[in-house]
Amino acid sequence: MDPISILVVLAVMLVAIVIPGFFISLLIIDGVSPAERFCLSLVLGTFPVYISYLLIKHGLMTMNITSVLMCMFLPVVVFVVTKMRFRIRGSKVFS
Amino acid sequence: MDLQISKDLAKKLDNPLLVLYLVVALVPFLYGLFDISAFYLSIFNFLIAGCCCYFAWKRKVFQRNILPILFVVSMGIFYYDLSVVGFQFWIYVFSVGLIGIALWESKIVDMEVGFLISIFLMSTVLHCIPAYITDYIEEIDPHYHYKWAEMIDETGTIPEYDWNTYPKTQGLDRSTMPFGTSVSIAFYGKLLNHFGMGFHQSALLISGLVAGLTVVVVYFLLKELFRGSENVKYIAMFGAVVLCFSVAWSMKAHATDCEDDAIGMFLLLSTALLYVLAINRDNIMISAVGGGLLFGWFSTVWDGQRMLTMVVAFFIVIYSIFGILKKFRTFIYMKHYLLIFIVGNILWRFVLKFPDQTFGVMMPQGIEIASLIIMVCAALVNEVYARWGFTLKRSRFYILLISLLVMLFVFQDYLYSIYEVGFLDVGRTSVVFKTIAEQSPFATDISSYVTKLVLMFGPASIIGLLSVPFMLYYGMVKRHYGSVLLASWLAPMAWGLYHKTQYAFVASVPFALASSWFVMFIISKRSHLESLRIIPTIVAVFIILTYSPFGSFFTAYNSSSIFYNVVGYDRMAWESALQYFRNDVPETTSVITWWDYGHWLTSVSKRFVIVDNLQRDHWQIQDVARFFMKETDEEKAFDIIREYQGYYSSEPYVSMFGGVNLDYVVIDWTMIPKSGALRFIATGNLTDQSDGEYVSYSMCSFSPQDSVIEDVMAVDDNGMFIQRKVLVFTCTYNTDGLGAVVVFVEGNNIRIDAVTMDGNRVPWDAWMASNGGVLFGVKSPIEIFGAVIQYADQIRRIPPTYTTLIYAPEGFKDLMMSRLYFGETVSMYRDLGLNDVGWNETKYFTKAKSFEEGFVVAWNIDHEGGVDGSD
Repeated sequence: MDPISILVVLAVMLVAIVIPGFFISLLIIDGVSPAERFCLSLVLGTFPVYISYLLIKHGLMTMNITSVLMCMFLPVVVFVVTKMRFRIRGSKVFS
Repeated sequence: MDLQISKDLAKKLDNPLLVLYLVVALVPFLYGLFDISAFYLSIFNFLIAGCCCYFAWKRKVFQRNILPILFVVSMGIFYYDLSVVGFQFWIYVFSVGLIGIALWESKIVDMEVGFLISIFLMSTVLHCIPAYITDYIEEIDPHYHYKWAEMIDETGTIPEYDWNTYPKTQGLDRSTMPFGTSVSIAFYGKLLNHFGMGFHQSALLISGLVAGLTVVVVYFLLKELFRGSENVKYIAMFGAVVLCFSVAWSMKAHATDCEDDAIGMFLLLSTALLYVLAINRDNIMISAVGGGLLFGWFSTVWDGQRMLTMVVAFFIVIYSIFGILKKFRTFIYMKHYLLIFIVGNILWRFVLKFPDQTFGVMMPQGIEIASLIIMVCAALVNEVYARWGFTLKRSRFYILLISLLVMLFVFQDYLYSIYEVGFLDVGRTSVVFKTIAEQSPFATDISSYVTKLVLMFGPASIIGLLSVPFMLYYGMVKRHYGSVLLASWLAPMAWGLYHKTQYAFVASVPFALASSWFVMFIISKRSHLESLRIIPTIVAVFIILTYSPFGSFFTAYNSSSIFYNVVGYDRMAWESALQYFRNDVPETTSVITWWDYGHWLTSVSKRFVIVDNLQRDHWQIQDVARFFMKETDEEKAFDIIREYQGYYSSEPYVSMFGGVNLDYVVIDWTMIPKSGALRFIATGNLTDQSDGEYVSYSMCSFSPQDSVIEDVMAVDDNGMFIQRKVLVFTCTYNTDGLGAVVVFVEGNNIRIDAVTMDGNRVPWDAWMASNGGVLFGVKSPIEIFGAVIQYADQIRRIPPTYTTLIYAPEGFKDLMMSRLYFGETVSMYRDLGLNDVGWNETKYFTKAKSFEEGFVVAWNIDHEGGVDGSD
């Protein structure tokens, strides 16, 4: 593969991991440094793949770009809904 | 509108050193556009290094700039001699590493962030270089996950059954197969569709990216394990660096290898991080939700969750005993892992088992439940002592002992699993597995173990291993659970590795983590300079240097080999054959060939095979081995074909596919050196696992340095002067003791001698008469002799079929392997007196196609036996 393609692939995959991972980490833990938050985003960021695996396995969806994006942004939606519904106070994104 | 930059940031950016470092970092990615000689770039780097030294001295920050200047100088050295193995790639690794270091030097980011940026980028680039070198998915096992990823990408669903393999058992049920890796590849592949790429690029690079992510996780894991330690950041950095440059870890954690190991290990470490975070914060949200989510997901990717549970069990048992002796409680460690375990086990069952079975099948496999029982018992015993004040009264002791014995009796089957896995299976293997290199022991004694550890894991591994007793002692005395956990992880992995090479990858992580333990005692303050702490500091610096690109100049460890974890010639030579089967052969075609090529044929060609690299059914593997390497009568060999065609011609293949036709035999050149393994399996006893016969073909390869290619004057038997060439073919080990074959080309005559291992020369016909062994070749003798004469000085560039004669011991000359692979040229060798076999063409098999000059050959199977062969 040429270097530009490698860079594009890595960037896309990294963004697809960090975005959901960031919001999942916000749901689970607070009071961490930016570096720790980034690490937790990586640690939890592949979880949307499990969600897609679960839904496809039970015939609730098939693997396509729409379902992939849905699984990827589901943690974002859950975080927003959780924050709005329970009005979490005092939780910090960064310490 | 002016860009609002704070004065502080503006002051930091106004730094000539930052500019110089970033320029040096960018140059490798741009210099290809300007056609500049690497020599001038080398000079450029050294000049920049000089400038940096000047600016650093002027600004009084020289100490802070030692590391980035060393990076710049190193890159200058790389440019200076690009012919050194790996230097052309180290330029890129060091250039991205320089980015984080430069940001730290300029105080834009702190040391931790600067280090993380550098190590993440370096690890990612280092382990993605294989994708730059080739577009092929690596070797064998990765194709299995690639196959399923492609299927998920094309159909959008998760496969439930594999019909393409093991026809005797009607394929394989895949409904409980953890497909997490394949799903991940397809998942990210869908996102890449919008950039003109897809699942293939995702498969190529996913493990390379994971390699970068893993070192970040390892850093924070070590930081949490050593929380409170004076040198915690240095400990974490050391461990991350050792893992990043670990050759053993890179065996799986590199681009083009889309197996489940790298992703699985990343998720295992992530789960371990959340476990440790939960302990340090005593937060059940982290363990139950975070850890549980990850454990559940992780179990659908890789089966390493059993290993994690076993390691945690060892840790809790040991630490609980320490707790009884030193009067501290260990309940918290069991509590958090139990939460992770329970939540995780529920989660993965929703994927690998249907919900109606979720609670009916709540028992994980033997070793997991055994580990769980042990850790719960250990923590409860510790808790009982804690509540009773840690006094060992006789009555309480007997109550506990009886309770433990009852539990041991009730759960004896599960507890036996630990003994079986740890002490029986680790050293025991089947007839089939004895032929697989990674199933064989890593070492035969302590000396070879240490030597191979250094070669594959680096010298840090020895430090880690030697630290185990000290870690346990320190953990007990200082109540440092991190030390005990690392020791509990490393000890069983080191034990398992000694007995089985397969554990090299899983052992690479605990070796790297444990090797950082001693960094607790290195210098961190000026006041330590004259203390004994200077010794571990020197050791740490030496180890870091060993793992660097320059380490191979003074040790046996060579981190440059990480770049070359790429596909071998075998896979590339098969490409034309795989495309032939994919495009020119009906979809319901099956191929009989060795298991090594099963995944390629099912994933790339999408055709049926008898066996593949899963080695799922040893009986079917033995049938294939018998076909090639045991039956000497074509009719008996064809009985095997008939048997398997019978399976394909019955249900469910008829209703699903309209029947499948076992129409091809394929032989690959590498089956010749592997013939000993096929023979071993074919003649072994699968009932009692007694060994088969380990005899193989011998490959006699042309040796230019021993040969005389230019004509020399010689005298023949009649006393006449002749021009003579001498071609020497040296043979691999064989039980007949043949060391070499010497071919004398004298004008139009060819005379051949055998040379024994002792150096005695015997005319070939005399050798054949006394030993019964014969010579074959994929190419005719004239083609081989002509090729080696013409291309003697570039022998490695021509296909091995043109440079190698095959020696068949007596029992091998009538095997189907010989009849098929050497059948086309057998008469030419017979005419030269090199063999005395009586067979010519086969009755049921006709050559269909040859690929890569005979490296791969396919034969049609004529089930009616239309070719009238003769013996």
